[in-house]
This record gives sequence, C-alpha cells and structure tokens, in this order.
Amino acid sequence: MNHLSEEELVLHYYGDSEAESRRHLAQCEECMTEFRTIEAFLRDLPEFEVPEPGPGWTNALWGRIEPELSPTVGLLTRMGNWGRTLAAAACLVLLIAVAFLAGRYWGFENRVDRASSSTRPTERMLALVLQDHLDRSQILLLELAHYDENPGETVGQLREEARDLLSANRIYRRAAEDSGSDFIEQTLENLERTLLQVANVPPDLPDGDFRLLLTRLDTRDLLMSIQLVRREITEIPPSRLEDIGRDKS
Amino acid sequence: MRLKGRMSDGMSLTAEPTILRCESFREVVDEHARGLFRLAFRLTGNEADAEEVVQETFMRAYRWRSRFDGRCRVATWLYRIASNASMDLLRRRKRRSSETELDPVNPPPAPASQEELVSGREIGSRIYEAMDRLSETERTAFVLRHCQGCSVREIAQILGSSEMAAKHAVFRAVRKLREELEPLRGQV
Repeated sequence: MNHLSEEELVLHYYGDSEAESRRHLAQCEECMTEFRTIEAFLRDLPEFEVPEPGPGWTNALWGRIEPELSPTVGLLTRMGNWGRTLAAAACLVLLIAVAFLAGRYWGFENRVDRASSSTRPTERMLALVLQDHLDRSQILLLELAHYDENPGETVGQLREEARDLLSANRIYRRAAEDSGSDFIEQTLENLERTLLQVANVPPDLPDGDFRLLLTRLDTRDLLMSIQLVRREITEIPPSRLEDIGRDKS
Repeated sequence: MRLKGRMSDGMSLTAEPTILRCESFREVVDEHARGLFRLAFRLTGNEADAEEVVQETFMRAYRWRSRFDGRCRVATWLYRIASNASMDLLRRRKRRSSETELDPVNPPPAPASQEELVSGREIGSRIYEAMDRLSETERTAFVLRHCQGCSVREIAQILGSSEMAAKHAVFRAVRKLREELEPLRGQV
C-alpha cells in the first residue's frame, strides 16, 4: 500500500479513518512520524476560550425573543396557504373598515385637516400587519442572495416560501395603494415581481438554471427598499392605535 | 486544543416533538441556547455577535419550524441555522469593515513584535486571523469537528453536503491552518 495522504492522517486524528489506513499506520514508521506532527499541531492549538453566559442569561434571551414570537405568526403557519390568504383578506377587510370609520370620525371632528391627513389611519393599520410580512420577505431575499453559500436550502423550499408570501403581498400592495402610501406600494410591487419569478420556478429546474435566474434578480436594491419601508413603519408605535383618535385634537 | 464541548452539551433528543408546539418553544430555547452560544462564539469570535446570532437563530427556527421534518436532531437543525446566521453576520461585518478600510480613526493593528511572536500568545491571536482566511464552509466544518466534536454525519447535515465533502472541508481547514500557524510554532 502507498503511504497515507495528509488528508487520511487528519481523518485518523479525528477517528474518521478507514480500517485499512489504521492498519497501515500501525506498521509504517514514516506515516506514523508524519501523523505525530499533525497530532501535535492539532492537540496544541490554543483553546477557543468561550465565555460562559451568566445564570440569568437564558431568561434575558427569552425576554428578547418572546415579544417577537407573535401568536398570530404561529397560528398562520398552522393554517396553511389557503388559511393564510383568508386571514390576510380578513385583515384587509378589517383594516379598510376601521380606516373608513376612523376617517369618517376624523373628518367630522376636524374638517380643516382632512385633506392633509385622511390617509394616516390606514397607514397605521397597514404598518401593523406589514412588519411580519416584510421580515419574512427579507429572510427569503437574503436566502436567495446567498443561495451559493447556503447549501441546505433547496429550490423547492424557496419556491414554497415565495408562493406563500406572494398571495399576502398582493393584498398588502392593494392596501398600500388604497392608503396612498406610494413608496410602500412601489416597494411591494417590486417585491411581488421577484416573488412571482421565484414562485413560478418549475420543480424540475436544473440548479444551474436557478442560479442563472438568481443573477437576474435585483435582491440588493429590493432589500434596501424593504429596510427603508421597515424603518418608516416602525416609527409608528404598533400599540398606539388609540393615537388615531388622539391625533385629532 | 482538544475536542471540547461535545454536541451533546445541552443538546439532547428530548426536544424533538416540542419544537413544533409554539407554547413549548421556551423549552427549546432553554435546552439549546448555551450550546448555540458556544458554536456562534467560535464562528464569530465575539461575544456580542454570538448573542445576536443565538437570538436570530431562535427567531428563524420559530418562523421556519414547519420546515423541520424530523430527519435530523433538533440540535443539528438549530446548528445549521446558527451556522448560516453566523456567516450572514460575518458577511455584513466584512462589508462594513471594507467600507471603513481607510478610516484614519481606526488604524489597523500594528504588526506583532518579535517578543510577542515567540511568546506563544501570538499563536493564540493568530488563530483567529487564520480562521478568518478559511472559507465559510471550511471554518464551519472545522469548528464543528474540532471544537464542538460533531460527527462527520452531523457536519454533513448541518452543511447540507455529503459526508465526503464534509470530511474534505475539515481537511482543507486543517491544512490551511497548518500552513499559517506551523511556522510560528517553530519559533516558540
């Protein structure tokens, strides 16, 4: 048998070598000498000292995570695609109804300012339901942008996620259009085009063709726009629906 | 450096069914947070970044929990998400640092003196630089095998690659580290 390669010796150090390699090593002084060098190097590498988080760390971590785990998200995930579409549609109907009522009330109380601020209630409602959608879209776009580096992602998973987001995106885009939020509408329109392309990828599309498609998608600009929209809508505190009424005075 | 922090550190099979139940997600966090922190710290080399990665990992896991098909351990699935989150963060950090490359306020560190070089401590700091020069796959594979004690099969699942590719990634990492660091060992 030939002498063991450097790779076989490294595998042996980690206990992953073949039986044949182990037998050879036991009998070959030359390979054993080389193995000892590799063993000494790996054994003597300095420790990666990892600081141990304190006893309350997990509680603090949970405190930061929990508010982000909206029960709505869990519910929607369990409802499946149709359920999510219906839920999004229900949100939209509710949004329009509340916006309509708030707009009427607003107009009755403050006719002078109506022209300049009649869209604000709708924008606030839109902001509430849009955040999670934008978060998920951002994650998908990042996955697409780094498809090469994330070998675990399959085209099928990405396509399913895009389909899922697409139906909700259409509803949100129309709501943005109704509310007169031009920038949000434009961003959602661009997002929709990208989602559509990914959602329509044939299940048997070769990996090379999918990569080619990804090079044509302008995910970077879209991510920046989404970031700007998120910044814009997160400036509106989501728990302050009552402000709609308070703003009137 | 010996095999430390085995994958079984805080990683057991008991959480498999609970990950799909949102009311039990707290248990998943309790059980896996520290193991993920160790992995994230070894990949990012920074405590604050590691904390951010752990948080991001659980957020992604929660959002994607319907994708968990039970074909691997929950720990392996979380490791995979954490590896990707770490790499995303390192990429963002690299982009930011390339934007401030010529920043006179933050000049690059001075080269090590001869005394520092031979002190052995230099090897300790150089290993992070050497790790930075590994590809993402090599770095992840090396940390998982060498520091976390994951099996080749687990590494392959985390990287989404074949076992052969996982073994080769570990080897390439070791070879590059030897090329960078062995000359320093000779000086000690």
